[in-house]
Amino acid sequence: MLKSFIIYLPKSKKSTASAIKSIDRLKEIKDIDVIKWEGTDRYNVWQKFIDSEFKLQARNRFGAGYIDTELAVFFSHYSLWQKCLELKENILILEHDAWVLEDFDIDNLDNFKGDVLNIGKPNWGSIYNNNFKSEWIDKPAGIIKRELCNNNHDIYKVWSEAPGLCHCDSMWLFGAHAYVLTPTGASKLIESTKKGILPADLYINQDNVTIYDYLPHPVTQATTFTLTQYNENNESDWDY
Amino acid sequence: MDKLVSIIIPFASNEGQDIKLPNHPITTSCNIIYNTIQIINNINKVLTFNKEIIIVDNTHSFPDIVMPNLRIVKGWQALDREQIINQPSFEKYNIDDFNNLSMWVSMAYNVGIQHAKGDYIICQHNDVFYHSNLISRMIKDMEINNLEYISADYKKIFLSGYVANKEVLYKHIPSIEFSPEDGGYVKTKAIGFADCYFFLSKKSFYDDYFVDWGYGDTNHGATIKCLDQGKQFLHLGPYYDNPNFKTENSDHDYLYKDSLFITHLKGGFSEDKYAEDKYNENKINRKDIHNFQTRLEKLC
Repeated sequence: MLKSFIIYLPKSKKSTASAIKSIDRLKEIKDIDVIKWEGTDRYNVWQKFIDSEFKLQARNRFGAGYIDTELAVFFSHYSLWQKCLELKENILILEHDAWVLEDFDIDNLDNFKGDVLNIGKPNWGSIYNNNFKSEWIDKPAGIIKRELCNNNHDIYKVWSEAPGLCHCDSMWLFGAHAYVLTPTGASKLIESTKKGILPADLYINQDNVTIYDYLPHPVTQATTFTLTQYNENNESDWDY
Repeated sequence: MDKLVSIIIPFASNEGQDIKLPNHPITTSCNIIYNTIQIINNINKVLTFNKEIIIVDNTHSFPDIVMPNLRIVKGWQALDREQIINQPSFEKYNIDDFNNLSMWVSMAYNVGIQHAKGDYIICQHNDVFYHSNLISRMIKDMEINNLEYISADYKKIFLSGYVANKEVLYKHIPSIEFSPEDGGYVKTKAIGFADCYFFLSKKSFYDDYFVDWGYGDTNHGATIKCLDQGKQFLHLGPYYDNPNFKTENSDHDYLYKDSLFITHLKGGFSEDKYAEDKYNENKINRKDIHNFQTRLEKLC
């Protein structure tokens, strides 16, 4: 049976409650037992960052400046990539607000042989601009390998209306709330840290791993309560 | 070089006195924290002599991290006024205005100096990074030439600082011009003033002096002290933003004897220049910031 992990922040009652809700949902839909996995929160991420000796691949890709929050999410995922290598088997990685929309074939996930199989509906990207329809909606059902797109993209504002830009949103995950990782994929992700790191979903990109999508994506992000701890103006988003 | 050098760097989430900090560092502090960590990395990588790095955490919001040669000490800004007044060394510093922003950063340096064990002290900002290890050479040159200090140069004395110190200043700089920008400042015709972007001296320099703020900004008094005592000092060029000395570019690279020494992204120890909303507010040139970031990351 596919080992499944859900990242949560144990100090936060909201995060814990959200993770439990997601676990119950998966149990109900797929009878999967999901393991709660303690994530890194932004308040204790700095020593981890210093000890890792990781470099940022591009500082200005870190959430318009929220470096600590993005680093924390990265380290939460990174610890599960290491776990995947240790287990030597496919694992399902979920964030605390992953919500199963519809039934899916668990054997497809268990037997997946590529690097990364994304089962999460993108939660940002060109869809930020109402003039662009998400290309994911029209794609056929099944497991599809992402094409390497050589068109021009505005990697900072993928929703930009500037002429000549592609809106395929296939370069990286656009939300890392639900994906299956194989040991091969884990190995590539860990090895690629030598090139520098990025926010977790940007880091799971086509330069580092081959990405497949399970379509239609059966999992979405349940709320706007993202694992990324943004709260510049609203401290109450986080309850600790 | 067998001498110990203490490098003092202030940190603050907010330069104002009334700090309304939540239980944890505010989110936007993360850029300054990250930058400070990278500056510590830069020091450890480039300056290979015997040193200690003292971060003076003025707002008690710097993370409790462990890095080589690093000590974190608590500054006074986050303390209650009564606690500050009760500090054993309080009387030494003539603090007469708790709302003076330059006072808090100057006091961070003074607190750092209290903790410093080095024979030499470097006061610097957390937005200054080193290109080359020239400190040993500088210290040797200071000893040979009887220099009291080597400092990056500040541009001007603000009008309030001039008015408060008119007699002292007139003695040394009789020829001045007034300029209206930035609330009014005095343009001297000959010299700039010491600051703490980079300021190297013997620890004994502080036997009869503390990092002052009485001339409108941090540490200009070091220059006045030397002028009063007829002692020599050296200011590093080019003199960026100094109206007395025109510069060709805005890279904020400082040289020592024609060698590239440090780069300073002018600003301060707590300004979050990297936050998107600050670009326009602070009239920061985005190109300069990105250039600075790229160079810093390469050197770390």
